[in-house]
Amino acid sequence: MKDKVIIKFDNVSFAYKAIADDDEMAATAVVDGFSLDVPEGQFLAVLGHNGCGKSTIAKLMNGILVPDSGKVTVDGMSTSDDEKIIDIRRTVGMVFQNPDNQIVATIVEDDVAFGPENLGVPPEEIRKRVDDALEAVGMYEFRGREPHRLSGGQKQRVAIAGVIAMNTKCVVMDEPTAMLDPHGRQEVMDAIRMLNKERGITVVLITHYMDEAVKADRVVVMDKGKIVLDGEPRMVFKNVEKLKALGLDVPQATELAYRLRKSGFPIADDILDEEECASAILRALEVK
Amino acid sequence: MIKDITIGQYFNGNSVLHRLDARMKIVLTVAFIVSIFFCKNFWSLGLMVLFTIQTVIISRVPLKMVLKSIKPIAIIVVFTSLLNIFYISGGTTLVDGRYIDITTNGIFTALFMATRIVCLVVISSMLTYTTTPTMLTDAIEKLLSPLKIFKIPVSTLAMMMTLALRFIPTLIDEIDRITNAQKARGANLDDGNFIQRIKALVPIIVPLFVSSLRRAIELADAMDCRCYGGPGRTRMKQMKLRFRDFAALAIMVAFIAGIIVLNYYFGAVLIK
Repeated sequence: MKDKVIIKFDNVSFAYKAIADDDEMAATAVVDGFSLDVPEGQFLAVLGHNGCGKSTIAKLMNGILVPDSGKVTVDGMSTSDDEKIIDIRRTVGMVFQNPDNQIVATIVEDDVAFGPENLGVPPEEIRKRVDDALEAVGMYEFRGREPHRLSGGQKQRVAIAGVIAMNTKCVVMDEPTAMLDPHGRQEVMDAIRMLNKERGITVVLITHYMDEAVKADRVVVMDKGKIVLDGEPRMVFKNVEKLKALGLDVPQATELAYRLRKSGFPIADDILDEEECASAILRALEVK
Repeated sequence: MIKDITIGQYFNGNSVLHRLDARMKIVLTVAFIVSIFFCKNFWSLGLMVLFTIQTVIISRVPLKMVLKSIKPIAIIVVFTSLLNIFYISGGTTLVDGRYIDITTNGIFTALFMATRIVCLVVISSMLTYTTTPTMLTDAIEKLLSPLKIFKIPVSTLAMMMTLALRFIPTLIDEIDRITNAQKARGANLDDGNFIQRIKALVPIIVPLFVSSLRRAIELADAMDCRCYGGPGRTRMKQMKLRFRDFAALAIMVAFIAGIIVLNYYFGAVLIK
């Protein structure tokens, strides 16, 4: 099952159409000849600077947007097929950037129940799913609260619980931590990791935080609607110069190792976090 | 702080009134409001007042909060009372003025009107004090569901109500933020005459409008993602009528019967 592809982009192009001042349709291709396979169970991070098309990719994944040309298939169903749209959305759930704009109910547990209610799940089953989903993200004791009294990280966890309760196979997250403080980011990242490792849910994380991408199984770097780098985090972040040319940062530890190596210090080029970096420096010093 | 506002005026509690089914509460409130207009003499009026007081006691809502709900209508009560005293004729004339007469009928009508309005407001606020907005919208949806046969989109309307309630605190936060941002740029919101102050609100309302539309678009996407409009919506929380709901209904029936009986035995107080 590991190799089964759950989301497949096949030479997809997409442009937002806007009516320009002279009433002509102005279209700029946001996604251009994009192909990508996401295998089931993978934790994929999509990186790229603003306007590179990464949010558009997210919206193409469950049919909020449909490609102008090419094809997006979810579990074998084309997102352009209107009749399959409900099935696609019960396979691929989505968490957005702004937690305030995706919570629909005035009470936490009612919001988590919203998805399964729409799918026509029987009431007792919804109750079970809601309790289970809230436990999973550590928000069970907040079930009777009003969402507007929660912190950003807590709201985002409620949104994640809402997706869990729908029993989706895959979750797409469009910069879920962008509006959160460091503490909230940590909470959400823990929930995402739990989702992927304990429940085997495929996660597509769109982000511009390098330290979040490092934790993924695979990193895809986008620029101008195309994939420029694709591979394990260790392989991708080796390309320090290329990433910088794209206007992206690398993790701080990688940056340090890169600068040390550049100034002639013998250190490996596949360092991702502080600990690896420290022990590599230590080793290099001992050799000297 | 502004963040701590509660939507509606729900008073958190666990009285029998709180635990009653919201649908039953709405039906009973409507029944009570109708019965208010049955009262024809002081005996039935007294029964109504007693019933109202008893309801307040059972709800365990602090008296202060109840009085707060009457405060805004005090002017209306006084005004209608005065109008009734001066303009209703009939019965024994007490003061024979040149332009206005004060009659017993006038005074009685004024008294009846005032009591009725106060009881009406107290009982309706009992409904909102003991029922959360969510429960209210759910109940309204259920009660209106027969209208579906006339192609009225009841569940969509209920969803709109829920979303409106959900976004009140969010928009209040937003107003706060925009106000501060405009003040930081030197907007003067607190001075000037009435017209100037209203004009000063424009730079707050326009951004609020724009951001609300943006929110609405995002919310629509988020709801789509969660299959809103999908195959037959079910509800997690099922409303169930219990024994206490029927007991409450029985009490209401007895109350209305009591009013009718008292009306019949003691006759009308107003003399035609």
